Amino acid sequence: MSLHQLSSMFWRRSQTIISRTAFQSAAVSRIPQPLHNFEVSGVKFTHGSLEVTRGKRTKSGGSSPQKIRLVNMLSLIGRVRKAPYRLKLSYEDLLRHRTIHRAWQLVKRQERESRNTELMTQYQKIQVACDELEKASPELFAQAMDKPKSLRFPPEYRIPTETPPNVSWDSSWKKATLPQVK
Amino acid sequence: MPRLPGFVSQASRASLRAASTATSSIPHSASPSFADELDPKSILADKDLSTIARAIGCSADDLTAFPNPTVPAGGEPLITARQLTMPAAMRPPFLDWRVQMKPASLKSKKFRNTYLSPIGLDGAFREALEILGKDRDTKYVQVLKLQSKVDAIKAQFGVLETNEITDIKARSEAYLIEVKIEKLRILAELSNPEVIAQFERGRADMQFPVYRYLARKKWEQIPRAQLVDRLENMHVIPDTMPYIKPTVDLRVRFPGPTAYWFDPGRILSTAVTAQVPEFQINTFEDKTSRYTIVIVDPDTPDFANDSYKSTLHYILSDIEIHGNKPDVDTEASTVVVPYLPPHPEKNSGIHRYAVWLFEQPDGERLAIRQRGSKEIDNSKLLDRDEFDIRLFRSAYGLKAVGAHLWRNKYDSQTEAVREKFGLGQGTVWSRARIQHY
Repeated sequence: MSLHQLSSMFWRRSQTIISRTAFQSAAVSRIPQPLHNFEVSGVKFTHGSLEVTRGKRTKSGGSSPQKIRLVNMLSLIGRVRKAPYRLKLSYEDLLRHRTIHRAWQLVKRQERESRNTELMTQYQKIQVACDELEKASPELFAQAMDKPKSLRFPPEYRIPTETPPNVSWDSSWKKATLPQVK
Repeated sequence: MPRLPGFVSQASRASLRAASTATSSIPHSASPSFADELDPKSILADKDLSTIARAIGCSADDLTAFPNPTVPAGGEPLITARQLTMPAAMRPPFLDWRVQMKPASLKSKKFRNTYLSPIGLDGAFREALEILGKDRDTKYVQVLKLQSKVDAIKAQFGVLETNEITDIKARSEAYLIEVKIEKLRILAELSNPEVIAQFERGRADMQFPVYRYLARKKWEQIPRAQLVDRLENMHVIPDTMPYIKPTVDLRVRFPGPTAYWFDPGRILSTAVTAQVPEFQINTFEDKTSRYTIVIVDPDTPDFANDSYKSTLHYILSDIEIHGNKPDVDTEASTVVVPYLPPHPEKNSGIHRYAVWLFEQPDGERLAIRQRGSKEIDNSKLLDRDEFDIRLFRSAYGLKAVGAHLWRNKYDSQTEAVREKFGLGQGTVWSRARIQHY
């Protein structure tokens, strides 16, 4: 097995991997593989598949630096060993895990629902207040409902917060003035 | 035998008890909120399990049927419902959460002894059980609340069953509440890890709604989709009946040493199908009703009309099915038309044998129900050679709820079957050369 053959093999293999990832589960034309099994410096090629043996001594085996480099490159491309090991849980622990997950989901749902109901009641209170205002003073109501027609986003808009600010009213505030264009 | 374990906490039992006493003394129109009535002092005093049994939907005797071995005779039992619902012999050791032990599901001794649980899983699990248990208890309190409402409606009319209530409005109200109760009972137990474990190990007890729900979901996942797929791809729909969405799981097998519930659409030997098939009907509901099974072959050659016609092979009616027992008792049912073994003629192709399951109206016995002005030709109704399954269905007012299917073709055993049952010599079909002038 010459280095040239090995590098061509490497090229084919990389092509196969790229095509597999590119069209997942689509019809991928398999590139024909060499017929014989052979082994070179820790890389075991079998018919139609590839297996990288890690941790095998490569230095004292008389391997050339090119081969070692190639093995390193192959190990970077191979995706099989890249994925972390699957957690091995016994059935009992898996069931516990599922139960914990369900409880967590329940807690999150309860949080979400309570928040939604709170917001809903707040909104309803706002509606009631607006209705009262309309009854009491239609002019004030019209003013309150008036939307600014300016297309410019007002720079003085405050980010909505859940609680009122510590300083309820900043009396020293003045409207920002835009620099005049000369 | 109840196999519904529980992790009802002591606090929850008190809340359940509070719920029951409140409902019995105060009319349901002015029912207070039960959360306010929780008295921590009553927690320790609580030893009454009948309320829990009522909420879960079984009798108190069921809960106490198995003595708790951890309690000495004459001692003061510090019991939990879970301990009581699971007899010690049946209680799987892997589900005994309180004992830190190696998982029993790992069969290899080596793996079992070297196995280590993830750190912190046990503590998180205990906390999760507490959260889920609280949720479950609130659901059971709701169940008791609704149950007292239904009981009040029943007491108003002096009846024991919901469908005996004479007033339509009250009956529908009670029915809707009962549906809600069933749903709550399912939701209450759906996160219970012991229930999940029992179901996944095939120890489901169909008297509890949660197991029925899980079984139905499991059936809907693959078997029902497969059945509908086969019925449509093999054109049983619409060749015999219009489209239905099956709600009942019908399983068919032929008796013998290698009897098995086969998948719909299998090609079987005529020797196998010469025996009367056995059925199972899983309704996934806690109700009793009557069913009719009809087997038809829509592939009988009709030479005169250059077409095909249906042959009737079997009608079994008045099959009584109770929710928990799916097996069909042929002797207790009525054989309207006896079973005719499939015997396809040579070269007539593969025959489909469609098994249709109908629900009889109002759980009554099979009887002709004239509908509309169109007269029914009674002589054609049960005719084996010219059977019309749609006419049959409408004449008896039946509702298709399930189906199954198998296939037969002329094989090495067909002649023997014909001889055994005296079916005579069949036609051997062959292609005729048509001369085009």
